Amino acid sequence: METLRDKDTFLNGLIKSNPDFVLVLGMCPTLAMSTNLLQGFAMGIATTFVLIFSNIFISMLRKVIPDKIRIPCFIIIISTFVIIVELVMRKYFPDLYSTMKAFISLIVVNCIILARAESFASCNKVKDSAIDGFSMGLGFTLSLSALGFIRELITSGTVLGLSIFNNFPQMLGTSSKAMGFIVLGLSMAAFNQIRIKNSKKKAGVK
Amino acid sequence: MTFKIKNMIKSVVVLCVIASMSGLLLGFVNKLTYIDPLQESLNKFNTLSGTQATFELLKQDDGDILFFAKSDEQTPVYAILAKGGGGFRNGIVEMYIFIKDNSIYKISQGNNKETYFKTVEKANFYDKFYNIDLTTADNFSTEKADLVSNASFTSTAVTNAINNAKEYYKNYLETLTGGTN
Repeated sequence: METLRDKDTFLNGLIKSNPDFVLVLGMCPTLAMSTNLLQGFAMGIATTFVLIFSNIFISMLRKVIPDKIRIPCFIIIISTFVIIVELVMRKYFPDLYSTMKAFISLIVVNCIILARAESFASCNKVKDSAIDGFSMGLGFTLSLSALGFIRELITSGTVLGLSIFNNFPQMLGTSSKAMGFIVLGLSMAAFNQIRIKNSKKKAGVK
Repeated sequence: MTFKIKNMIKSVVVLCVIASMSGLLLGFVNKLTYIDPLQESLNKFNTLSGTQATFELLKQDDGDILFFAKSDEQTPVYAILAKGGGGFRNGIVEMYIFIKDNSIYKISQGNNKETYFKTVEKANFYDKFYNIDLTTADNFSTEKADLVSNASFTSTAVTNAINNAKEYYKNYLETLTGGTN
Protein backbone atom coordinates (compact mmCIF):
# COMPACT_ATOMS: atom_id res chain seq x y z
CA MET A 1 0.00 0.00 0.00
CA GLU A 2 2.77 2.34 1.09
CA THR A 3 4.83 1.41 -1.99
CA LEU A 4 1.84 2.03 -4.25
CA ARG A 5 1.35 5.49 -2.77
CA ASP A 6 5.07 6.24 -3.17
CA LYS A 7 4.85 5.15 -6.80
CA ASP A 8 1.84 7.41 -7.31
CA THR A 9 3.62 10.37 -5.74
CA PHE A 10 6.64 9.66 -7.92
CA LEU A 11 4.68 9.36 -11.18
CA ASN A 12 2.68 12.43 -10.29
CA GLY A 13 5.64 14.78 -10.63
CA LEU A 14 7.14 12.92 -13.52
CA ILE A 15 4.11 12.57 -15.80
CA LYS A 16 0.65 13.41 -14.39
CA SER A 17 1.66 16.80 -12.98
CA ASN A 18 4.88 17.42 -14.88
CA PRO A 19 5.82 20.96 -13.83
CA ASP A 20 6.77 22.11 -17.33
CA PHE A 21 4.44 20.35 -19.71
CA VAL A 22 1.31 19.92 -17.56
CA LEU A 23 1.34 22.51 -14.75
CA VAL A 24 3.17 25.08 -16.94
CA LEU A 25 5.25 26.29 -13.99
CA GLY A 26 8.81 27.64 -14.07
CA MET A 27 8.53 28.96 -17.62
CA CYS A 28 11.20 31.63 -17.10
CA PRO A 29 14.13 29.23 -16.48
CA THR A 30 12.62 26.79 -18.98
CA LEU A 31 12.84 29.24 -21.87
CA ALA A 32 16.08 30.87 -20.79
CA MET A 33 18.07 27.78 -19.90
CA SER A 34 16.92 25.32 -22.55
CA THR A 35 19.05 26.74 -25.34
CA ASN A 36 21.31 23.70 -25.09
CA LEU A 37 21.24 20.28 -23.45
CA LEU A 38 23.99 20.88 -20.87
CA GLN A 39 22.43 24.09 -19.52
CA GLY A 40 18.97 22.55 -19.42
CA PHE A 41 20.21 19.47 -17.59
CA ALA A 42 22.29 21.51 -15.10
CA MET A 43 19.37 23.82 -14.37
CA GLY A 44 17.14 20.79 -13.80
CA ILE A 45 19.61 19.16 -11.41
CA ALA A 46 20.07 22.42 -9.46
CA THR A 47 16.29 22.81 -9.14
CA THR A 48 15.89 19.15 -8.13
CA PHE A 49 18.44 19.56 -5.33
CA VAL A 50 16.64 22.64 -4.01
CA LEU A 51 13.23 20.95 -4.34
CA ILE A 52 14.24 17.81 -2.44
CA PHE A 53 15.95 19.55 0.46
CA SER A 54 13.51 22.42 0.83
CA ASN A 55 10.63 19.91 0.78
CA ILE A 56 12.34 17.78 3.45
CA PHE A 57 13.04 20.71 5.77
CA ILE A 58 9.65 22.34 5.29
CA SER A 59 7.95 19.03 5.99
CA MET A 60 10.09 18.50 9.11
CA LEU A 61 9.22 21.94 10.43
CA ARG A 62 5.57 22.01 9.30
CA LYS A 63 4.19 21.60 12.83
CA VAL A 64 6.50 24.26 14.28
CA ILE A 65 6.06 27.00 11.67
CA PRO A 66 3.09 29.28 12.51
CA ASP A 67 0.65 29.63 9.62
CA LYS A 68 0.95 33.40 9.39
CA ILE A 69 4.71 33.40 8.82
CA ARG A 70 4.94 30.28 6.69
CA ILE A 71 5.86 32.07 3.45
CA PRO A 72 8.87 33.98 4.93
CA CYS A 73 10.01 30.72 6.55
CA PHE A 74 9.70 28.83 3.25
CA ILE A 75 11.64 31.54 1.44
CA ILE A 76 14.48 31.42 4.01
CA ILE A 77 14.70 27.64 3.67
CA ILE A 78 14.53 27.70 -0.14
CA SER A 79 17.08 30.50 -0.48
CA THR A 80 19.49 28.65 1.82
CA PHE A 81 19.57 25.69 -0.56
CA VAL A 82 19.79 27.93 -3.61
CA ILE A 83 22.87 29.62 -2.14
CA ILE A 84 24.37 26.19 -1.41
CA VAL A 85 23.87 25.26 -5.09
CA GLU A 86 25.51 28.54 -6.11
CA LEU A 87 28.51 28.01 -3.85
CA VAL A 88 29.04 24.44 -5.02
CA MET A 89 28.65 25.33 -8.70
CA ARG A 90 31.01 28.27 -8.35
CA LYS A 91 33.68 26.07 -6.83
CA TYR A 92 33.36 22.92 -8.95
CA PHE A 93 31.74 24.05 -12.24
CA PRO A 94 32.98 27.64 -12.73
CA ASP A 95 32.42 27.75 -16.51
CA LEU A 96 28.88 26.46 -16.29
CA TYR A 97 28.21 28.75 -13.33
CA SER A 98 29.39 31.82 -15.21
CA THR A 99 26.81 31.25 -17.95
CA MET A 100 23.96 30.30 -15.60
CA LYS A 101 24.51 32.38 -12.46
CA ALA A 102 21.69 34.86 -12.93
CA PHE A 103 19.19 32.05 -13.37
CA ILE A 104 20.58 29.96 -10.50
CA SER A 105 19.85 32.83 -8.09
CA LEU A 106 16.36 33.09 -9.55
CA ILE A 107 15.53 29.52 -8.43
CA VAL A 108 14.49 31.19 -5.15
CA VAL A 109 11.44 32.62 -6.88
CA ASN A 110 10.79 29.60 -9.09
CA CYS A 111 7.10 28.91 -8.66
CA ILE A 112 7.54 25.11 -8.79
CA ILE A 113 9.49 25.18 -5.52
CA LEU A 114 7.18 27.50 -3.63
CA ALA A 115 4.13 25.68 -5.02
CA ARG A 116 5.41 22.30 -3.80
CA ALA A 117 6.34 23.76 -0.43
CA GLU A 118 2.93 25.33 0.01
CA SER A 119 0.73 22.63 -1.45
CA PHE A 120 2.60 19.43 -0.60
CA ALA A 121 5.53 19.62 1.84
CA SER A 122 3.71 21.79 4.38
CA CYS A 123 0.99 19.15 4.84
CA ASN A 124 2.74 15.81 4.18
CA LYS A 125 5.28 13.54 5.84
CA VAL A 126 9.02 13.93 5.29
CA LYS A 127 9.37 10.79 3.15
CA ASP A 128 6.46 11.71 0.87
CA SER A 129 7.76 15.26 0.55
CA ALA A 130 11.21 14.01 -0.40
CA ILE A 131 9.72 11.71 -3.06
CA ASP A 132 7.54 14.55 -4.34
CA GLY A 133 10.56 16.88 -4.54
CA PHE A 134 12.57 14.23 -6.36
CA SER A 135 9.83 13.38 -8.86
CA MET A 136 8.96 17.03 -9.56
CA GLY A 137 12.65 17.81 -9.98
CA LEU A 138 13.15 14.83 -12.25
CA GLY A 139 10.13 15.83 -14.34
CA PHE A 140 11.53 19.36 -14.63
CA THR A 141 15.03 18.05 -15.49
CA LEU A 142 13.73 15.70 -18.17
CA SER A 143 11.56 18.32 -19.83
CA LEU A 144 14.35 20.93 -19.74
CA SER A 145 16.83 18.40 -21.11
CA ALA A 146 14.44 17.38 -23.89
CA LEU A 147 13.88 21.01 -24.85
CA GLY A 148 17.63 21.71 -24.64
CA PHE A 149 18.36 18.70 -26.83
CA ILE A 150 15.87 19.77 -29.52
CA ARG A 151 16.87 23.43 -29.47
CA GLU A 152 20.60 22.69 -29.59
CA LEU A 153 20.08 20.23 -32.42
CA ILE A 154 18.01 22.54 -34.60
CA THR A 155 20.12 25.60 -33.82
CA SER A 156 23.60 24.27 -34.47
CA GLY A 157 23.28 20.59 -35.36
CA THR A 158 25.15 19.58 -32.21
CA VAL A 159 24.36 17.68 -29.00
CA LEU A 160 26.45 18.52 -25.93
CA GLY A 161 28.73 20.43 -28.28
CA LEU A 162 29.40 17.36 -30.44
CA SER A 163 28.56 17.75 -34.10
CA ILE A 164 25.78 15.41 -35.23
CA PHE A 165 25.21 16.66 -38.78
CA ASN A 166 28.09 17.74 -40.98
CA ASN A 167 27.65 21.10 -42.72
CA PHE A 168 24.50 21.84 -40.74
CA PRO A 169 22.70 24.81 -42.33
CA GLN A 170 22.39 27.78 -40.00
CA MET A 171 18.68 28.57 -40.08
CA LEU A 172 17.70 32.13 -39.35
CA GLY A 173 16.06 32.65 -35.98
CA THR A 174 16.38 29.11 -34.65
CA SER A 175 18.28 30.31 -31.58
CA SER A 176 15.75 33.04 -30.85
CA LYS A 177 13.37 33.17 -27.92
CA ALA A 178 10.44 32.88 -30.34
CA MET A 179 11.77 29.50 -31.47
CA GLY A 180 12.02 28.56 -27.78
CA PHE A 181 8.30 29.23 -27.40
CA ILE A 182 7.49 27.23 -30.55
CA VAL A 183 9.58 24.22 -29.46
CA LEU A 184 8.07 24.40 -25.97
CA GLY A 185 4.52 24.58 -27.36
CA LEU A 186 5.02 21.66 -29.73
CA SER A 187 6.73 19.53 -27.04
CA MET A 188 3.93 20.35 -24.60
CA ALA A 189 1.29 19.35 -27.14
CA ALA A 190 3.06 16.07 -27.95
CA PHE A 191 3.61 15.22 -24.26
CA ASN A 192 -0.02 15.89 -23.34
CA GLN A 193 -1.34 14.01 -26.36
CA ILE A 194 0.59 10.89 -25.29
CA ARG A 195 -0.29 11.37 -21.62
CA ILE A 196 -4.05 11.73 -22.29
CA LYS A 197 -4.05 8.82 -24.73
CA ASN A 198 -2.37 6.58 -22.17
CA SER A 199 -4.65 7.58 -19.32
CA LYS A 200 -7.71 6.94 -21.53
CA LYS A 201 -6.26 3.56 -22.48
CA LYS A 202 -5.80 2.70 -18.80
CA ALA A 203 -9.33 3.81 -17.95
CA GLY A 204 -10.69 1.77 -20.87
CA VAL A 205 -12.21 4.76 -22.69
CA LYS A 206 -12.19 4.56 -26.47
CA MET B 1 -4.22 40.28 23.94
CA THR B 2 -1.87 37.94 25.80
CA PHE B 3 -2.66 35.27 23.19
CA LYS B 4 -1.74 37.64 20.34
CA ILE B 5 1.55 38.61 21.99
CA LYS B 6 2.33 34.96 22.67
CA ASN B 7 1.73 34.14 19.00
CA MET B 8 3.85 37.06 17.92
CA ILE B 9 6.73 36.00 20.15
CA LYS B 10 6.44 32.43 18.87
CA SER B 11 6.61 33.66 15.25
CA VAL B 12 9.65 35.82 15.94
CA VAL B 13 11.43 32.96 17.74
CA VAL B 14 10.67 30.49 14.92
CA LEU B 15 11.89 32.91 12.25
CA CYS B 16 15.05 33.67 14.25
CA VAL B 17 15.82 29.99 14.78
CA ILE B 18 15.29 29.13 11.09
CA ALA B 19 17.39 32.10 9.96
CA SER B 20 20.18 31.21 12.43
CA MET B 21 20.22 27.57 11.33
CA SER B 22 20.37 28.71 7.69
CA GLY B 23 23.23 31.03 8.52
CA LEU B 24 25.16 28.27 10.26
CA LEU B 25 24.61 25.84 7.38
CA LEU B 26 25.67 28.44 4.81
CA GLY B 27 28.73 29.35 6.86
CA PHE B 28 29.77 25.71 6.92
CA VAL B 29 29.22 25.23 3.16
CA ASN B 30 31.00 28.52 2.43
CA LYS B 31 34.00 27.31 4.39
CA LEU B 32 34.08 24.10 2.35
CA THR B 33 33.72 25.83 -1.00
CA TYR B 34 35.67 29.04 -0.33
CA ILE B 35 37.75 30.30 -3.24
CA ASP B 36 40.43 32.90 -2.57
CA PRO B 37 39.46 35.84 -4.87
CA LEU B 38 43.12 36.67 -5.57
CA GLN B 39 43.97 33.10 -6.54
CA GLU B 40 40.79 32.87 -8.62
CA SER B 41 41.67 36.04 -10.51
CA LEU B 42 45.28 35.01 -11.10
CA ASN B 43 44.07 31.66 -12.45
CA LYS B 44 41.62 33.47 -14.72
CA PHE B 45 44.40 35.82 -15.90
CA ASN B 46 46.48 32.79 -16.82
CA THR B 47 43.74 30.86 -18.62
CA LEU B 48 42.15 33.81 -20.43
CA SER B 49 45.29 35.69 -21.47
CA GLY B 50 46.41 32.98 -23.88
CA THR B 51 50.01 33.25 -22.69
CA GLN B 52 52.04 30.67 -20.81
CA ALA B 53 53.53 33.41 -18.62
CA THR B 54 53.08 33.83 -14.88
CA PHE B 55 51.25 36.92 -13.66
CA GLU B 56 52.63 39.08 -10.89
CA LEU B 57 50.11 41.08 -8.88
CA LEU B 58 50.74 44.84 -9.00
CA LYS B 59 47.63 46.08 -7.26
CA GLN B 60 44.73 44.73 -5.25
CA ASP B 61 41.90 47.04 -4.27
CA ASP B 62 38.20 47.29 -3.53
CA GLY B 63 37.61 50.24 -5.87
CA ASP B 64 36.91 50.14 -9.60
CA ILE B 65 40.07 48.13 -10.23
CA LEU B 66 40.01 44.91 -8.22
CA PHE B 67 43.23 43.32 -9.47
CA PHE B 68 46.00 44.58 -11.72
CA ALA B 69 48.71 42.14 -12.78
CA LYS B 70 51.61 41.98 -15.20
CA SER B 71 53.03 38.95 -16.97
CA ASP B 72 56.75 38.15 -16.78
CA GLU B 73 57.32 38.25 -20.56
CA GLN B 74 59.58 40.53 -22.57
CA THR B 75 56.54 42.29 -23.98
CA PRO B 76 54.36 42.10 -20.89
CA VAL B 77 50.64 41.46 -20.87
CA TYR B 78 48.75 43.58 -18.38
CA ALA B 79 45.66 41.95 -16.94
CA ILE B 80 43.00 43.99 -15.18
CA LEU B 81 39.87 42.91 -13.34
CA ALA B 82 37.75 46.06 -13.43
CA LYS B 83 34.29 46.92 -12.20
CA GLY B 84 31.72 48.93 -14.15
CA GLY B 85 28.44 50.35 -12.92
CA GLY B 86 25.26 51.14 -14.82
CA GLY B 87 24.04 47.61 -15.44
CA PHE B 88 20.42 46.57 -15.06
CA ARG B 89 18.97 48.20 -11.91
CA ASN B 90 22.35 49.85 -11.42
CA GLY B 91 24.05 46.46 -11.33
CA ILE B 92 27.81 46.13 -11.38
CA VAL B 93 29.73 43.93 -13.81
CA GLU B 94 33.30 42.73 -13.44
CA MET B 95 35.36 42.45 -16.61
CA TYR B 96 38.70 40.81 -17.33
CA ILE B 97 40.70 43.07 -19.66
CA PHE B 98 44.03 42.14 -21.24
CA ILE B 99 46.40 44.74 -22.64
CA LYS B 100 49.49 44.22 -24.78
CA ASP B 101 51.50 46.93 -26.56
CA ASN B 102 49.19 49.60 -25.10
CA SER B 103 46.04 48.16 -26.66
CA ILE B 104 43.36 45.79 -25.49
CA TYR B 105 43.49 42.40 -27.18
CA LYS B 106 41.04 40.40 -25.08
CA ILE B 107 37.96 41.09 -22.95
CA SER B 108 36.02 38.54 -20.96
CA GLN B 109 33.17 38.76 -18.47
CA GLY B 110 33.70 38.27 -14.75
CA ASN B 111 31.15 38.19 -11.94
CA ASN B 112 27.86 39.85 -12.73
CA LYS B 113 24.13 39.35 -12.45
CA GLU B 114 23.21 40.52 -15.95
CA THR B 115 20.90 38.27 -17.95
CA TYR B 116 21.69 39.87 -21.32
CA PHE B 117 25.41 39.19 -21.51
CA LYS B 118 24.92 36.69 -24.33
CA THR B 119 23.33 39.43 -26.44
CA VAL B 120 26.36 41.64 -25.84
CA GLU B 121 28.80 38.88 -26.76
CA LYS B 122 26.82 37.77 -29.82
CA ALA B 123 26.83 41.36 -31.12
CA ASN B 124 30.67 41.28 -31.08
CA PHE B 125 30.50 44.34 -28.86
CA TYR B 126 34.06 43.88 -27.57
CA ASP B 127 35.53 44.29 -31.09
CA LYS B 128 35.28 48.08 -30.96
CA PHE B 129 37.64 48.21 -27.96
CA TYR B 130 40.40 46.13 -29.54
CA ASN B 131 43.58 47.45 -31.15
CA ILE B 132 43.15 51.06 -30.03
CA ASP B 133 46.12 52.85 -28.48
CA LEU B 134 44.96 53.38 -24.90
CA THR B 135 47.56 56.05 -24.18
CA THR B 136 45.97 58.44 -26.67
CA ALA B 137 42.36 57.23 -26.80
CA ASP B 138 39.46 59.14 -25.26
CA ASN B 139 36.93 57.41 -23.06
CA PHE B 140 34.69 55.01 -24.92
CA SER B 141 31.20 56.36 -25.43
CA THR B 142 28.15 55.17 -23.49
CA GLU B 143 25.75 57.05 -25.80
CA LYS B 144 22.72 54.99 -26.81
CA ALA B 145 23.88 54.70 -30.44
CA ASP B 146 27.14 53.07 -29.35
CA LEU B 147 25.50 50.40 -27.20
CA VAL B 148 23.93 47.05 -28.00
CA SER B 149 20.21 47.31 -28.58
CA ASN B 150 18.22 45.09 -26.20
CA ALA B 151 21.18 45.06 -23.82
CA SER B 152 21.86 48.74 -23.32
CA PHE B 153 22.29 48.48 -19.52
CA THR B 154 24.73 45.59 -19.77
CA SER B 155 26.74 47.19 -22.58
CA THR B 156 26.87 50.47 -20.58
CA ALA B 157 28.30 48.62 -17.59
CA VAL B 158 30.84 46.82 -19.82
CA THR B 159 31.92 50.12 -21.39
CA ASN B 160 32.24 51.73 -17.95
CA ALA B 161 34.43 48.86 -16.73
CA ILE B 162 36.66 49.16 -19.80
CA ASN B 163 36.91 52.95 -19.35
CA ASN B 164 37.92 52.42 -15.70
CA ALA B 165 40.59 49.94 -16.78
CA LYS B 166 41.83 52.25 -19.52
CA GLU B 167 42.12 55.21 -17.11
CA TYR B 168 43.93 53.10 -14.56
CA TYR B 169 46.36 51.75 -17.14
CA LYS B 170 47.07 55.26 -18.46
CA ASN B 171 47.76 56.54 -14.94
CA TYR B 172 49.99 53.55 -14.26
CA LEU B 173 52.08 54.27 -17.37
CA GLU B 174 52.35 57.94 -16.45
CA THR B 175 53.60 57.03 -12.99
CA LEU B 176 56.16 54.69 -14.54
CA THR B 177 57.46 57.33 -16.92
CA GLY B 178 57.41 59.99 -14.21
CA GLY B 179 54.64 62.01 -15.85
CA THR B 180 51.91 63.83 -14.03
CA ASN B 181 49.27 61.63 -12.43
